[in-house]
Amino acid sequence: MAADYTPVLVALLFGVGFASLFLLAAATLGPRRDTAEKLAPFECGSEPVGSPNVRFSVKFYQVAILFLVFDIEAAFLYPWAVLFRKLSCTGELVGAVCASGVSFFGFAEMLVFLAVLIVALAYAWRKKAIGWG
Amino acid sequence: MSFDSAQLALSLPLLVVAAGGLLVLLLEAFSGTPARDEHGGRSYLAVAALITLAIATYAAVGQWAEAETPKAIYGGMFAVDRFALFVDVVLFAGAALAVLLAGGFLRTHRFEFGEFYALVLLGTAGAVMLVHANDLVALFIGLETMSLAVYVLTGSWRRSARSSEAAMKYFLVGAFASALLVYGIALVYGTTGTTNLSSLGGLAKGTGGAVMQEPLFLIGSFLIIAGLAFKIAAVPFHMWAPDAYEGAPTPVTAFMAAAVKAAGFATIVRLFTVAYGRPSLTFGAGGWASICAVLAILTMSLGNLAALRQDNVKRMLAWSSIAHAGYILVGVVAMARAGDDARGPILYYLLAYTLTTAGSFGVVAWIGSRGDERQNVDDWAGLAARHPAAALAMTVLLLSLGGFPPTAGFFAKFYIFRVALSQPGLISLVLIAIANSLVSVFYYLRVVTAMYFREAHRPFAPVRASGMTAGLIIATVGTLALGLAPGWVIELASKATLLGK
Repeated sequence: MAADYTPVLVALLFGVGFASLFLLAAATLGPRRDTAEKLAPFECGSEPVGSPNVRFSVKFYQVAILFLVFDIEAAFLYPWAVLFRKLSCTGELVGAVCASGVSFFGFAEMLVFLAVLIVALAYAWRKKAIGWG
Repeated sequence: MSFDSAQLALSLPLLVVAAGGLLVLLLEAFSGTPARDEHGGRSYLAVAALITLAIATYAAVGQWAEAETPKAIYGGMFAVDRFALFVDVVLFAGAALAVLLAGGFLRTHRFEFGEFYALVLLGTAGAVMLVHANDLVALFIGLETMSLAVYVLTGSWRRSARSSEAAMKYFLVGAFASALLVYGIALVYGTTGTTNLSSLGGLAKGTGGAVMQEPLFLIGSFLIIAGLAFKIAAVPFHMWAPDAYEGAPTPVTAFMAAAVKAAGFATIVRLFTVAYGRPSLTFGAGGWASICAVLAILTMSLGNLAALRQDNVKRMLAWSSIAHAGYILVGVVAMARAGDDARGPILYYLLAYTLTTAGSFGVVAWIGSRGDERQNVDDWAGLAARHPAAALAMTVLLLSLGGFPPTAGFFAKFYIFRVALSQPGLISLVLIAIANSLVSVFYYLRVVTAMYFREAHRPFAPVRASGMTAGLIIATVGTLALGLAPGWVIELASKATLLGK
């Protein structure tokens, strides 16, 4: 059983090995000529503007939390979509064919899940968590 | 896959509370902003929450007869048995008391938090899920649902720095405990290939019993036990509890001390009985019972010794609730050998403790006025002369916590100690518990003497709210009634069936 994990170990060793090799090579082989420009914080090539320690508006966190909720919702929809055939079939699937007839079980299940999230959305909307004003 | 509507009917208590929570949330959001003087204390929300809890209680009681033979539904994940139903009713009682206390408290301290009622209901839904969970994954989801609601409730008093601090501590420690628990679940699943409690119990009995000696399985089980011990605040996993209990808005403290703890203990009882069986999980000679015995001794002793030193009544009650977890753990230890016989006393204790502790935190909520919570023992001096009824209620509740007859607290301890004494080798544990009860009398009576034998040095301005008065009366009368007529409750509790292996 432990042998099953050998490829994982090899991949790990390669990853760590290559990363350290390149870092080491860059540190020892590369010439080091620091200038004020080079030592400035890298901001996608732009000139740095002010200190990074500014206060962010709490609105960013609201948006982030809402995003997270609905992102997770989308993530849950994928496995449900994959299993939808199986969930909708009253009996066993034969291949991809459902001989025994279909039910609304899978559909209703997702509706319940979405309904709970819609309650959350309605709440967030009423509490003015959506929008920037 | 087809759908079986009988399963929905069997999980009705959970569905009612969850749906009620969502409805109250919508009601709060869509009912417009409250007028200035009724901040947070919008009574229609409390009424909606109470109706929900009443329907859920009715549903749970209605299943009692049917649940004599336990059933497993939703693919074996959800147990419907009398044990779970009994705890459901205890949880609903705790939640209802918190709701009753909340109205007056929110209004007095002027915090706009209508979500309070929705969160209590959703937290209760999580607790119900936890109590019914017959699968480690369902257990984890229930625990998280309950905990998340309670973290928010703890920090809901935004103008109080203590409340924010309490929420932060509770959240960080709680998240840590959840991580331990889920890691333990992963290890148990990794070694046994199942997360179902009944299947785990089956393994212990059958040829797969050897798996229970595997180091990884033992580590996983330790982690699960540690995670649950955090939730019930057993020493040495208790550090968060005094600060969280003291900082939280008092009705929330009542909910935490009563319902959250009851749900945690119900989970422990189910996990140990179903998954680990009688001491088949061998950590040393005594099985899991020896771990619980150590936890019980530490929890009782530290809880009581620390409570002795508190001048703040709310913090004293917080430590006292830690000590009470220790007494219940004595019952859990007894369960290792006594099996089903110990379940009745534990259930009785949970009910008695829920009423008593919610009531005593209720009086703490009642006595404070805006900007002055009056939590110091000195602030309680002379209460009996001005408000004799409240002083009497607090006296009854404190005597019950201390274990005096004829209150519920006396019989709760009596039943637990009796079942423990019926097992060989537990005499020393019971003696330690009795010594601890004696110690606890000092700090409970300190409040009583302050109320009755000292002069008030400043006037009282307690909360005036009919909901709160009703809550205090219910808790006090319930505590007395359980103590005066304990027979039928213990009778009922001892008939609580538990879904087996």
